[in-house]
Amino acid sequence: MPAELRFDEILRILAQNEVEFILVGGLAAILQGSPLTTEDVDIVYLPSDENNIRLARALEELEAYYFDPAGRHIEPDVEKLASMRMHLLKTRCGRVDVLRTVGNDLSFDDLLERTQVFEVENFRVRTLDLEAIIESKEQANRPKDRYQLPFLRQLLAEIRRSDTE
Amino acid sequence: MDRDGKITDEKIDGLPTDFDDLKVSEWGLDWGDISQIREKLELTPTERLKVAQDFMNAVIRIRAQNARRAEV
Repeated sequence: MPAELRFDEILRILAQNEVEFILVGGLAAILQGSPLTTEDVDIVYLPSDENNIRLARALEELEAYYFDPAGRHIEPDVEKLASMRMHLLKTRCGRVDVLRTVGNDLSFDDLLERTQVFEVENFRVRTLDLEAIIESKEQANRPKDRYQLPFLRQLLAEIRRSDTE
Repeated sequence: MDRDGKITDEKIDGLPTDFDDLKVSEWGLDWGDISQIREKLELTPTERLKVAQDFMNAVIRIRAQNARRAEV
């Protein structure tokens, strides 16, 4: 485990390498005001040849390697990004889940119209919108998803309330 | 104090003094949870990220200071 989690550094390196990705999961909700915590960064990436190269470069900069139950040190590369659907990685800045799809097999292209771009420090992060995050939690329906739903639904209600004021 | 042992002081009228005083929303969250959400909404996305990151790093530090390493 890294000495310090650096969500900001992970997002900055992805942005600097011009990786096309959508931030999903707990950190996406946090950017929108969720009071819940998380220990990893979850992203859905566009699996094009060019983007796989950019993503591989960013992951190399983050010193990423697979979280392997067998304890081997396996690093991600362009070939793996092109062929595998899920990459559960450890990096020098914390854990990053790099995914081809989320929820009901929704890809980058499927999710794109349900995103918002947030300015974070001096870079931009395309983020799955809160309603879509809630839907993905409802679809996943695991105990940990069900636990988060009241907080996310309340957050959505608070945002709508403040928008009408 | 009244017969139920609650403080009766008009200077703190309306201040929740027991769990029963906390209203629960339709989503099942009480005022304490809702006020945390409202505090987060007052921050910028950059500030929200930093608060979450700092909090988790504090948890990790405390965990490391107190946890016994599992025998694998």
